[in-house]
Amino acid sequence: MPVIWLYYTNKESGGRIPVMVEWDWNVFKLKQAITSQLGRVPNKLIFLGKEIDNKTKLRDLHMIEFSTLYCVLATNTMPRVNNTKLRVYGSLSPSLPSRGYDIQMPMSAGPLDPSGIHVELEGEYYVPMTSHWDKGSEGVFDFSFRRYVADSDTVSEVSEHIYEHLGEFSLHTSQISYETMKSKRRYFSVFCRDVCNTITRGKLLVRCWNCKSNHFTLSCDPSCWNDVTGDVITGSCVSCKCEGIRAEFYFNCINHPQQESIATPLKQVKMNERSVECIICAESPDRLMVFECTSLHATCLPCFTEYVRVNLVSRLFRYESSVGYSLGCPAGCPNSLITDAEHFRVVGDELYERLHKFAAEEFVLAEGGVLCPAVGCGEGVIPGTKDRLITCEACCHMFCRKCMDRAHFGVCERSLSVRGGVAGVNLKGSAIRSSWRFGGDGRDRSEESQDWKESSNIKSCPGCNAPVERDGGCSHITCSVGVCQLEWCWLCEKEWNLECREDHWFD
Amino acid sequence: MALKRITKELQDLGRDPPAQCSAGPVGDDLFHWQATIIGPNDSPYAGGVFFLTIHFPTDYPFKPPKIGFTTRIYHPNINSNGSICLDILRSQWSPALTISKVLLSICSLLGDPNPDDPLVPEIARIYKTDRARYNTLAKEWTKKYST
Repeated sequence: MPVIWLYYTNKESGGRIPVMVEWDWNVFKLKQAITSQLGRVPNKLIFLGKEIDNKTKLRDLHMIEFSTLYCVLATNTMPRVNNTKLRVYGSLSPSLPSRGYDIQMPMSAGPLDPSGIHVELEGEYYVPMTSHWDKGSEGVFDFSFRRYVADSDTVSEVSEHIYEHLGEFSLHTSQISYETMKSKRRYFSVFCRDVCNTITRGKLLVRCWNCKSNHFTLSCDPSCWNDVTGDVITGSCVSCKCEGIRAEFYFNCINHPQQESIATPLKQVKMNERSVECIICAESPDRLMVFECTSLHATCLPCFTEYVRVNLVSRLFRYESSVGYSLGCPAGCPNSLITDAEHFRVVGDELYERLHKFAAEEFVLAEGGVLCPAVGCGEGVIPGTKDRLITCEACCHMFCRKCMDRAHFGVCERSLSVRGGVAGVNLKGSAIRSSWRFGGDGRDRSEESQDWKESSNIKSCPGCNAPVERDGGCSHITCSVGVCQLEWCWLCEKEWNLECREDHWFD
Repeated sequence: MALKRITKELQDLGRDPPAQCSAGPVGDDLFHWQATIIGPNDSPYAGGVFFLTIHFPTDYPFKPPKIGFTTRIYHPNINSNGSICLDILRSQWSPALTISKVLLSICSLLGDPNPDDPLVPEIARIYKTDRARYNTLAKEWTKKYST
């Protein structure tokens, strides 16, 4: 990278520093670089006797290596705002003196706009419990800081930066929160899979895709989820040996930032800044699960978890080729299916596993395949031919495609008009029974079917053979199996028709 | 969860009761309610007061409440046991629905029966073929059972 010299000055001090630049940068970017190096925001940049404006590119200024720039640093002329307090919980590194330690808070380049935001800590922090304070022990640090731009976003931005820089000052901050008169703080939500196994607060980080070094400069800031999840943004790796240009965004769980752990971002979990009510329990929680319907319906996380659980167990998720096996807004809005299945992890590992199983089955059935009927197998088979006899590749069980019974010659004894069965069928008159094939109780299918016969409120769907439990309602049953959806009569066990309606709709 | 939500609904019903419907717990058990619907004016049920019973499942609002008429009513979608054929009480239930909304739906079902999805085919047939007779019978039943 080319280097230019920068003379800087303000009321108290001045000096000369080298600054590494790219000729492609505009002046705004250069100001950010200077901000990060000096910890102060450059107010005016002067080159060849002229003040240069933010949008100009360095190349257009005909700058060359070791050109000299002059800069006036911003002075603290704005009124002080002292109502903002930042509280950092952490432990003091044993290598630091126990109190009276001055922190010079360096400004990070980051997304801060050097022309607008300028925040400083008030010089030193204090430890409230001085008498009990030992090196390496846990404690609370209170900061008050002054700022030029007073809005809640600035506060969150700044506390984020302070958090990062305290790390540099060897304070092992484990948790950070702040008290302010302003609105609630906004942050990313992640599902921490390794340690917490729940939805937590996440931190967005970036590294070089190639060498995984965190010393990576982005060509532009990410402005939407697509920027972070896709390979849209490039940059340059600052680590000496690597010449990577591909950026890799990732998330860390706030509860253990030092640890390498998998934390998947949940883009539909958002901060409830406007005190929106959960449409299920009507509470107004801090965090919401927001659906992508036009009304942006939202639920609290406990309700969302229960909603997912109930619908998963009842197998009421829907398979849609563009989205997969998913669930929509509880109010039934169209086009509201959750696109990222990571959100469903809230139901716990066991149920999440089941979700995957169901999704795979629905996919197989939607693709015209069948599921192996052997006990404990259930492997999906998508036969290439139209042969009636199918051999499961997983367990070598040979079965008849028509009746799903063991392979046989001649006409099927059991009649089945459509494909092999899957679990969990809803009926118009409610009630569901799921996982009938995968119960793992090792019982033979025929044994199970005898059990059904004994129970008068369980029958199998004449379309897909899935068991159906009826606990009320009329005789008009609608199969909830994604590919079946057959409307049938509980009494005739045949497709629903006008006669059924006229003769025995109910009772 | 269920109890919290039911309590909240009870408060909301007290604060902002829907027109023509009222509901509340039968005794100490918050999962068992009773409700009344006043027959809509523009229907043959006008002037009648219909009683309903509501049972909340333990996993309410993720599962629908069980609602039935205790007053007899001549209606193609309500049978002699008081069962109501209404999609939102079964397959179209959504946890975003409330008792208040359900009662209003039942209220509009009274004024606007759905003869294409009847629970009592005979009444549906009369409703479709001989509206005057349906109106007379519905009025008679209303007079007999609910006034």
